[in-house]
Parts: sequence; C-alpha cells; structure tokens
Amino acid sequence: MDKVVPWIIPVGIIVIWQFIVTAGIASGKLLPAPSDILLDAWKLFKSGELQKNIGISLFRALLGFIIGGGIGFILGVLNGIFKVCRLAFDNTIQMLRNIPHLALIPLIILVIGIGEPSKIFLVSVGCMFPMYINTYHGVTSIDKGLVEMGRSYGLSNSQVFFKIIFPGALPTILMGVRYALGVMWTTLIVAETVATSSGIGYMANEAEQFTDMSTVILCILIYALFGKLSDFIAKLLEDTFLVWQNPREIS
Amino acid sequence: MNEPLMTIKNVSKQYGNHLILENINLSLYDNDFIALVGKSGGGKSTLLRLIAGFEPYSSGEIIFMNQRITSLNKQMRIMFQEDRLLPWMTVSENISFRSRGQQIKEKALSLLELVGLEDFANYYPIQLSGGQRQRVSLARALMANPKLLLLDEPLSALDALTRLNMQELIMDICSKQHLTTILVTHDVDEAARMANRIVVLKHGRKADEISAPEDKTNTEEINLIAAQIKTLILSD
Ligand SMILES: Nc1ncnc2c1ncn2[C@@H]1O[C@H](COP(=O)(O)OP(=O)(O)OP(=O)(O)O)[C@@H](O)[C@H]1O
Ligand SMILES: [Mg+2]
Repeated sequence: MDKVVPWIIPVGIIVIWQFIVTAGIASGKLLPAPSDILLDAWKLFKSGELQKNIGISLFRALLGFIIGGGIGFILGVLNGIFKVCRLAFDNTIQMLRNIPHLALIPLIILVIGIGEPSKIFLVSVGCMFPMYINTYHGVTSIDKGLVEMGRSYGLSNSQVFFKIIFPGALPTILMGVRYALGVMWTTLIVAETVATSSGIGYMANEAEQFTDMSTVILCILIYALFGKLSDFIAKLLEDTFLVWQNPREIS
Repeated sequence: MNEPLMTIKNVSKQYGNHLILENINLSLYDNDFIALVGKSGGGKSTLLRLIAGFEPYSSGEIIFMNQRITSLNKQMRIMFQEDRLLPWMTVSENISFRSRGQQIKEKALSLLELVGLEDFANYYPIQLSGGQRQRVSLARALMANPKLLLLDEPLSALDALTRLNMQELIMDICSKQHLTTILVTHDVDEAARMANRIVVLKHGRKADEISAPEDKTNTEEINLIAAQIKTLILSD
C-alpha cells in the first residue's frame, strides 16, 4: 500500500494526458502524447543519439561534482580544523561564494571556449561551495567534549579525525552532498543550453529550433529522472552511514 | 604508610589574573577513594583537569607514580558529567573504540557484563537511558586498566534511584579492581557514602580534610559526617 499510493498521481497524470491528446482535445503538435514521446525516445535510442548525449551529460555532471565537491570538502576540513587555513582562505571563499556561478558563463566561454572544460569547470564551481560550507560547518560544530575525551583516552590526531571529527560532521556533509547534487544538475542544464554541441541540454536546444516538442519534453523528463536518481543516491548514503541517528528497533 | 600513588605539592592555577587554585596539597595512596566537595566555582573540576594533565598548573608540582605530570597519562582515566559517548558507535564499539581485535572485543564484553549491560552491546547510545549511558562510559574508562579513576560529577544528571545504584556499582568496581579514585561531587551524602577521605575546597583553597566512616552500612555516622561537611562548605 505504502509503495503504491505515491505513484497514483504521476501515473494518473500520464493516463489523462494520453487520453486528452488521443481524443483530440489538445493538439498533438503542441502537446505530444506520452506514447509519442516514448516513440521518439526509441527512435533516438536506435540512432544512438540518446545514449551518447545522456552519457556525455552524466560524465560532465559526475566529473564536475567530484572535482568541485572534492575541493570543497578538502577546504572545509582544512579550514574547519586549522586556524591558519581558516585565516588564509575563508574570507576569499566567502567573497567568491557570493558571485552566482552561472554569471560566470560569458566569462568562461570567452576564456576557455565552449569545449568540455568549460562545462566541467562550471559544474565544479557550483558544487564546490555547498560542499565547502557544509563540511566546514560540520567540522566546526563538533562537540569539543568528544574531542577532549578522545585525546584523553589516547587517540592520535588521525584517530581523532577518523573516529570523532569526520563521523560527527558526516550528517552535515551529506546535506552538502544532497545540495551539491541539485546544483550539479541545474548548472549543467544551463551550461548545456547556452554553449555546447552535445549533451541533453544541447538535444533540447536543437529540438527547440525545429519545434520538436516530443524531444523537448523527453529531455525535461530525463532531467527529472536524473534529479530523482540524485535524491535516491543521497538518501541511500544517509541511510547507510547515519544508521546511528535512527537505529532500527533491536529485538 | 607506603609510598603515595600521587602527591600534589603546593599546586596553584591561574587563569590570567584570576587565582583559581591556591597551594593545594594532597597525597593519594593506593585504593584511596577521595571525594572532592565544595561550592560551585570552587575549582574542583580545575583540580581534576590539572591532575588529568589536560592543562598545565601555574606552580607547584603533581607527582604520579614517581613522575611529574606534564601531559595526559595512560594510567588515568577521567569520566565526565556528560557521558561523552560517540553517538555513531555501538555500545561495544564505544568501549573498545581505540583499537580492534578479538581480545579487545572480549574484554569489552566482560566489562559490559561488569556494569550489567551485556545485552546492550549492539545498541547505539541514543537507544539507552541516561543511567545506562553512564554505565557504558564507566566501562570505557576501565578498558585501559587505569590505576587512577577521575570522576567529575558523573552521576549528577541522574535521578535519585539510578544514582544510588550507580554509587553502589562504582564503589563495588573500585574496590574489586583496586582502583584509586577521586570523585568530584556536589552531593555531601554521596561523598560521605562513597569516599574514605573527603577534601573540602573553598575559594580555591583546601579548607579541610575529613575521614569518612569505614563502615558504609553505618547510616547514622554517614549522615553525621555529611552534615558536618555541609556546615563546612556553607560556613565562610
Ligand atoms: N578555561 C578557563 N578560563 C578561565 N577561567 C576558568 C576556566 N576554567 C574555569 N575557570 C574558572 O575557574 C573557576 C573554577 O571553575 P571549576 O570548573 O573548577 O569549578 P567547580 O568547582 O568544578 O564548579 P562546579 O561545581 O560548578 O562544576 C571558576 O570561577 C571558573 O570561572
Ligand atoms: Mg565542575
């Protein structure tokens, strides 16, 4: 029952949508029926275009996330732990953070062009800040009493990090991951629509030129699916690593 | 008498211009159970932190097992008012959190048995009551076989009944394992019931030292001593 109910509305919408178009209530040109979109997807799949573009978009998204998220994480940890790093970097990061990273698009196109690096760079910048902020916040809000306990019980510096600081910061860090995954997609969509010659965003843009509604909607659906997938991954990470916050009943 | 386990000689502690502890002298012998009592802000926790090597003292010296205390010492374990358990580790992991191995695991389990929590090894701290958590915390303190146990009001957050149980448990374990113990407490009854010597701290000075009754079943005498400490603390 709990598994079925959340799907009633989405499935209902698709059924009604299909009905409206097939019955001729709405024009199939402006609003293609779900079946048309499926057909379109199949066509693009057979020509290999669909997989190619999905692949390239996924590649950009993941690489950007790993680079940007990784840098944000490392900076967050360093600034959270070492006062020297905090003094050296935090002010600059806070200043840069206030620039909307999408505003960098014209600059980036001028400097690095519309090739792969520009998209990956943009996604990285987008993912870096949420990861930085959350990691930094997680590390600095660790209960000092726990660290004191760890030291007095003989933990080395690295043990204090891996047994106390990192697991303690993890809930906040994973919030950063969730947020960064969201930013990752929006950044990529915009970047691919503005400047590129491949990827889902490009596919949508091309279709728009030819008023190919089913491909446009297909692209939107793919983004929705990817967004849902990111959410699922974030949830999975939380469920795996944060069991202690909500442990199952022990019988 | 034999050699003291620890000697505190003329120890003073200053924070900036504030003299928090002034010329404290105290000798601890094997199997001593000392209660440290006094008004809030009197410097009890500070003295314990100096002994534990968390902070340097300003003058004097503390000699423990023939060595001057300058930093953390493996032969001592401190238990705090809060349980300070790691929420992301299970009970048994919390006890053996420093290292891994079969032997360590077995030791952790036997300590859990000692504190009466053998059925809770796989629970997370969030699933335990306050009293149970302090038991885990006690087991963790015993893991390294310390010579000296430092207790900074570990029972003050517990309800009266749980508290009495924990007092019994701690006294029992300390005598069985031949631990020397310093207990900081607000509770004069607790001090009289658990300790063999009671040290009264007042405005950073040692105001008095009282012997507590040997016979811990003699409630009348314990109550008498408790009343005496109370007067001492409250008088100016
Ligand atoms: N890190 C510190 N810096 C400056 N002053 C401090 C510091 N730690 C403690 N003090 C001061 O030292 C005094 C003694 O504090 P301490 O915590 O030892 O008291 P206490 O006897 O344990 O009190 P309580 O019973 O409330 O726990 C207090 O006046 C406190 O303000
Ligand atoms: Mg205190």
